[in-house]
Amino acid sequence: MALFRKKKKRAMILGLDGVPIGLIERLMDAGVMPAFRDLSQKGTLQSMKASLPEISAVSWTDFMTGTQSGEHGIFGFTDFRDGSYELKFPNFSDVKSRTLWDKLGDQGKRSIVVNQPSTYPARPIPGCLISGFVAINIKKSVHPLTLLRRVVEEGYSIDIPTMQCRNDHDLLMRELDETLKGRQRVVDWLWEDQDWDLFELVITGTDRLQHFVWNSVEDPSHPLHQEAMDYYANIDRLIGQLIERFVEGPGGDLSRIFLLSDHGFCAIEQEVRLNAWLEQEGYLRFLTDEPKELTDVDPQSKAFFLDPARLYINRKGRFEKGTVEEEEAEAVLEELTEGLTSLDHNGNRVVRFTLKGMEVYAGPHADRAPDLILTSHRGYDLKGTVKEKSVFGKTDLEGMHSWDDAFFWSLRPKIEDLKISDLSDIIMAELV
Amino acid sequence: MRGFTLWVIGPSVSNNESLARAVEGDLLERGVRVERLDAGSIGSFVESSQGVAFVANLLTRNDVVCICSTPAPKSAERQANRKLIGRYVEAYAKSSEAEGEISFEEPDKPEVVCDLIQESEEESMTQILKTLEILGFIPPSDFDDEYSDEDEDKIRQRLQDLGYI
Repeated sequence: MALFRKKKKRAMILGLDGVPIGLIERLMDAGVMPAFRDLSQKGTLQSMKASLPEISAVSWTDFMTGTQSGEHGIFGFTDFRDGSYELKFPNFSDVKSRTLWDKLGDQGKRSIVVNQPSTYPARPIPGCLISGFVAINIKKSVHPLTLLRRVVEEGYSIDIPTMQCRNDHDLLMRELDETLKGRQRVVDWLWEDQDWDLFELVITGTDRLQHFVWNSVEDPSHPLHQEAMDYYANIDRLIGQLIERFVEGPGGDLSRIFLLSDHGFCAIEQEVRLNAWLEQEGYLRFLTDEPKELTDVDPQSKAFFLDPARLYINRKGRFEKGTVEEEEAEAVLEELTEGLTSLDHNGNRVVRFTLKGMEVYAGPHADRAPDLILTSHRGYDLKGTVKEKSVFGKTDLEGMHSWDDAFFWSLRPKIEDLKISDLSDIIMAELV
Repeated sequence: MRGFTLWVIGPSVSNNESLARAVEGDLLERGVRVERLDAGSIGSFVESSQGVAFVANLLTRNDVVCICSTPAPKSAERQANRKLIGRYVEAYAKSSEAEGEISFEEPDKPEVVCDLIQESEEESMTQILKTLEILGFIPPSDFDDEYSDEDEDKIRQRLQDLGYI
C-alpha cells in the first residue's frame, strides 16, 4: 500500500534576528552570502514590516501567533503590573494566542524549534522547543526535558555573554562563532533524531553583532570588518547546508522553505530619551532627583514612556495613583502628539509617525495597549529610560532596530505591504 | 536519558495493560523513547515472564524505556526479573477483578501501588509518573513559568546590555 501513501510534506523556517534586507543585498553583492544569492535568484526576497514597536519580543510573537499585541498580549520586553508603575517581564506563558506549532499539532504535525525568541520558559509544544532570548536558564529552555542532557553535552549556549561582549569585541566575535557552532550541532542532531514536519532555527547572534559593532558591518576599514563578514559567511554556509539537506531529504521542497528577519537595523545617530523630553516639557516629574524606575514617578505627572517608545497617559482609571481624568486625557494626548511630532535634532525631525494604541491593536488585550506609539526616522533610537536628564545623547551601542526593512524570502510572488504577522498563515497554507 | 523497565503488575491483566498504555502515552508526549511489551505483542512469541524480562533487559540497556504488562504473577519470578534488569520499577495495580487461572502473589516492595478500586486510571498514571520523576528515571515535568527575583535581575541585566531598557 506504500505506493498510495500520501507523500509527507515538510517545511523549514530560518530566522536571522534583526538582519535588514539592505544588508542581505549588500552581502550578496559582495560575495559574502552566495547561498542567499542563489535563493534570491530562485525566489522572492522582499522587505517586510516588523511589529510595532519593532522589537523582538513583540515581532517574534506576532510571527509565531499570526496575530498582533491586542490578541497575543505582548506589548514589549516590559509591561506594567496591573494598575501599578512597577515593571514586569512578560514571558511565554503571557502569550495568549496559540502558536503556529500548536496549530500544526492539531493537524498531527510535529515542529522542531531551535532558539525561538520570546518562548521562555519553554512549555510543551507538539514537538521540541529550545527557547531563545530572553532565556536565562537552559533547564527551563528545553522541551521535552529528555533533550536537555544532549543539548548541554553539545555545548549549546542560549546566548552570548552580553555584558562582557558589549565591552570586549574580540570576545564578542569568538562567542558569536562558538554559539553558532553549538546551534548547528544541536540542529544536526535533532534533524536526524526526531520525527518532524516543520524545522525552525533562529540565529540571534546577528542582532548582537549589529547592536555592539554595527560599524564593523558597514565600514570596510573597521578593524573587525573581516571578522564580521566571516560571521555572515558562516551563517550563509549553514543556510546553504540546511537548504540542500532539506530539499534532498524526505518531503522537502524549495516551496516550503521560508527565511525571515524580525526587524531591520541601522546605525544610531542619536539616542532620544523621551522621558527626559516629557520632564523638560513639564509633563513628567519624579519623587527623587535620581529616579531609577517608573515607580519613582510623581503621581501628578501627566504621562511617561516605557521602552522603547510607548507613551502612557497617567490615567486615573488605569493606574492606582493616576491623576489624569478621562476627559482631560485626550487633550493631553493631542498636545503630546503635536510636541513629539515636531521634536527635532539639528534641524532633523526625530519622529517619523505616531499611532494611537487603539489604532494599532485590536483584540481582548487591546485595553492594555499604550496610548501612543512612536516610530522614529532612521538613526534616532527612541528610549524610555528615566535615568537620563538630557534628551539627546549617545552610548557605546552602535546599532538600532528599524521597522519596515525586515526581510522575507520564499518562492511565492512578492506580497504587497507584507507584515511579519502574515507569515504564520502563509506557512500553514504550504504545509497543511 | 538512560533506559529503565516499568513493569505493571496486578491480578487483572487487562487493567495492567490499560494503565501501561496510559503511561506510555504520557512518556511519548514527553519525547521519551518507549517500547511497550504486552500480551498482544511479545506475548505471542514469548510465554514466560523470564523471556519478557530478557527482551526488556536488552531494551533497557540500550536506553529504551520498556513498559511491561505481561503477566508476572509469581513473586520469585519478579525478583529474578528485577535482578536481571537492574533499572526496574514495579507498579502494583490493585484491582478487584482477577482474570483466568492465574494465582497472583502480592508483591513485597513495589515502587508504587495504584489502587484501581479507589482511583481513576488517570490518577494511577499520574502517581506512576510522579514516582518515576522522584526516582530520577524521568525528568520532572513541572512547568514553572514564574520568574524569581533572581531571574528578573538577570533578564533586566540582559535587556540593559542590549539597550532595550
